[in-house]
Order: sequence, then structure tokens, then C-alpha cells
Amino acid sequence: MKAWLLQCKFEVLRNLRNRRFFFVSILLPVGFYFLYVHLIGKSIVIDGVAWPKYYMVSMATFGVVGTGLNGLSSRVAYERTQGWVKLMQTTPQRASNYITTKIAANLLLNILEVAILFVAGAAFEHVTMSLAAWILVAITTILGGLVFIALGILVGHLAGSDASQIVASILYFLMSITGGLWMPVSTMPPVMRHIANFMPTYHLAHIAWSVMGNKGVSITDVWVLFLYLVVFTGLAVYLANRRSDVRVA
Amino acid sequence: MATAISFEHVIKRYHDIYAVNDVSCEIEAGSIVALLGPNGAGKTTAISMMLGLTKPTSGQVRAFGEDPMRRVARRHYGVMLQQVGLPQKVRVGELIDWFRSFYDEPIAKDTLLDMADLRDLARKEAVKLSGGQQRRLQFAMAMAGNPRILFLDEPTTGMDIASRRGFWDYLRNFAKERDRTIILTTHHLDEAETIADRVLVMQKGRVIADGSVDALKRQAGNRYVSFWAGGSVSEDTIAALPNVNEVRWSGRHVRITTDSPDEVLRAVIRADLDVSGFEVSQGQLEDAFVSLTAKDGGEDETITDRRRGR
Repeated sequence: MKAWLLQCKFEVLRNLRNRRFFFVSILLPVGFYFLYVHLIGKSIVIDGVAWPKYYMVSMATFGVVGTGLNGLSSRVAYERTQGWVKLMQTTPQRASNYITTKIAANLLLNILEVAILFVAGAAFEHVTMSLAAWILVAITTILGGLVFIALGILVGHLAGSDASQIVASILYFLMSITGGLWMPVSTMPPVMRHIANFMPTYHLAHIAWSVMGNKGVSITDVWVLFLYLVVFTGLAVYLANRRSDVRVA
Repeated sequence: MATAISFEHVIKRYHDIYAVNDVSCEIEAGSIVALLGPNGAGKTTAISMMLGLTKPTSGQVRAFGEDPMRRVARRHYGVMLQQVGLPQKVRVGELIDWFRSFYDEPIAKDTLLDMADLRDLARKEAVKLSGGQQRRLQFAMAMAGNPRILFLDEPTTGMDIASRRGFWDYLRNFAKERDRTIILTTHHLDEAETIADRVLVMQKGRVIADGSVDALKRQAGNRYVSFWAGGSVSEDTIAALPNVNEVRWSGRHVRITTDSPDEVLRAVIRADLDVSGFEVSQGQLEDAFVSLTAKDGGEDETITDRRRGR
């Protein structure tokens, strides 16, 4: 357990020391948040939710997606192809520690990001809601990040470290835009609304939007996210095991 | 003597290629064993199986009686693989702590830092170290659990001559003082020659020679008589001597490869040839290695190539 916690700590530190993490997961969502809240106007209401509140969740989700995809994919790919994973497998530690510590570290970072966005919203844009709603929205966004953690790990198993970085970046922006995180889906053409229905990004943020709009959580959102999580995890596990029996080069 | 590692009729097959083909051997605790062989000979696969990274297709590999695929067997392992990219954004001291956390009775952090001569660099990011420094750090990581057996895959790659010498000196003491086992692969046969008390030569998945460095040289049959020949000595005269397998002229210096140096010397002296500066030698391990593995070298290349094509 001590070894697990230590490894988890190093994984968190590695992200915090990474300028890319700072940019993608903190600066970009917070910057976009303030920019678009003021560009669009605070009085706008989207699906029954005031714009500063709505966009706070959009950007928190955007940050969580970025951390899972960008933070994990190239790192997993690098460590897998550069012999690090193999070296870890020769130690007496549990083989699963390698990936579970990364997942745990990423969840901790998700907490940090959601906290930063919520503080930005509450302190600077006067976002208010009930304590229960704050907690529910926060927990949903943080744990929903598991889908993108699984996707990040999956991408890391699909390609080498350079290629997976590119794939992750493309997925990150595409899923964020089509999922309505940059611009609300209801302002997009119908075809985009249709596409959004297939995006885990949309369904994750939609849970929080529904809670804030007092609409009650749609079970479809939960199912879609769960399905994506199962598929991404299953594929990642399959790829990880398929390649475990290779020779030392 | 206890057995550290044992192979029992081990076969590892990748599709139709036998990377390791029916190998049986035991490595005693306390010995320093060099595993040699041309590329594609199966030594890396053999090490992989010892490390629990690869499962044999059939047969058994055991480390201290345990299956290396199980974690308990690896409690006493220290491993240095070749070409391991250290993780980014982690400091030298942190990596050492990280590895220490895997073991029940790790060596003190400062001792490990001193061992790798990295105490002043403990706060530096590991990937920013020079190649040689990274190798030394990896050695410290391998030593973190105070291992009973050390696996070293090309350990001195990237080290300068001074570090290299210091490294082997350290290992010699490590093995002697604590009765620990070392299994290494290296391309520097002179290194294997000075440190190993047993050499296993692999080729095409089999162990084709196994013994001390001296025994291997004897098995290879490379024994040399060399001398300086005066102007009156012709090439034909030398070639006509008994028991001569091969003659190499370098200017007026002659080196004769023979199975029986005594007979060659006797003949040279009896003929009263104009020669001086006799030397009888067994050659280097490298010579033995080359002649042991040369027998089907050509075929071996095709195997290597076919694997690369996959």
C-alpha cells in the first residue's frame, strides 16, 4: 500500500511538473471560461441554465477530458515502447499497480481542475446553486473523467508516443467541440445535435447541465457513459495483454 | 551450492521459429555467468523467461525454486535491461525511492546514490542525465532491493572507460563479499572474460558451449604459436610445418593456429629456422566465440532477418 501511494504521488507530481498539463488542463479551460462568459454575455440562458453556470460545467468537463487524454496517452505509449513497463514487470510489485496508480493520480487531478473551475465560477462570475447540486455536479464530472482516462490509456496502447500524442489531441478537440463543450449543442445545426448524442463528452456534461436546470438526470446519459467506459477499458485491457508476451528487443 | 536459476527442457517457440530450443541448465548461486551469442541466438528470450516476462512454450524455468512469473520469485531480483527510457518528470532521488518501495528490506537511499555516484544530482530530472549517468542510475535502481541475483543486459553501454572499470570492480566485490549471483549479457567479450566464471554460448536457440573461459578457449581449439620470421623463411616453409591449421602473416610476424603448439614449436626448432620471439597463447575469448559460433553463421543470419521482417 505504501508503495502504491508513493507511486501515485509521483504520478501526480509528474503531471504538475508538466507545462503541457498546466496549459491544457488549467490555463485553456479557465481562459476560455472567462473569455466566452464575457463574449456571449452573462444574461443568456441555455436550456434553462444561466450561461456562466452552464459554461462552468462545459469547461470543467473540457479540462477533465484533456487531462485523461493528453496526460495519459503519450506517457503510456512512451513507457510501453521504451522498456519501462517491462522493467516494472520484473519487480515484485503487483502488475496492476502501474495502471491503477495512474488512474488514481488522474482522478486527483480531475478534482483539482473541477475545483479551479468551480472557484472561478463562484468567486468571479457569481455562480450559485444548492450545496447538494455543487457536490453532485462535482462528483459526476470527476468520476465521469474515468471514461477519458480509459480512452487515454487505450490510445497509449494503440500507437507510439508521438503518434498517440497527435491522436489524443485530435480526439480531445473533436470530442469537445462535437460534444457541445465549446458551444452549446442547442445553438448548433441539427446534424451536430445528432452527432453530439454519440459523444461521451456531451453525455457527461449533460448530466451536470440537467442537475443545474432542475430537470433530473437522464438514465440515457449514465448508460452511454458506462458503455463507453466498458468498451474503452475492454479494448485497452485486450491490447495490453496481447502485447505482454513479446520478447525483450 | 544452492541453485539460483534452473532451465528444464525449456522451449520457446514463436510461430515456426524456435527462439529457445530445449535448453536445460542450472546456474549456481554465487556464480557470475555471462550469456553470449550472436544476435537472434535466443539469449534475450532466455533472459526474458528468467525475468518472468515471457512464458516458456514448454519446459520449466525456476528461480530459487519458484516460477519467475510469480511475484515472490522476483523479490530477490535486481534487473538492468538495455534501452530503458526512464520516465519523464521524475527526479533521480524519487526514482530510487520508487524502486526501494518495491522491496521489504531495501538498501538505504544514500548508499544507493553513492553507489551510482549521483548524490549531487539527486534532485535532477532523471531523463536529463547523460547516457552514462542514466546507466548508473539504473544500476542503483537494480540494487535497491539488495538483490540475491542481478540480471544485467548490456550493462555498460554508454559508460565511459573509467565508469566501466569502476562498475566491474564494484560487481566483483558485490559477488564475492555477499555470495550473490550475476547473470549478464554483453557485447564486450573482454568484459565477460575478466568477470565471468562461467560462460554460456547460445546459438540458434541452443546452448552450444558451457564452461569457464579457459574451458571454452580449449573447446574452440584456438591455440597460437607466433614469432618473428627472418628474411630466409618463406611462406611455404611455414605452411609445410606439421599440425598447422592456419597461418597469418603481418609483415614478418607469423601467427600459426594449431591444435598442438608443442609439435609446431618442436618442428620449428628442429628445422633451425631463422625465427625469434616465440609466443604461445590461447587467444582471447573473442577468438573462441567467433570459432564456436562461426559453424552455422550464415543460416543464423537468415533467421535474424526473417524475425525482423515480422
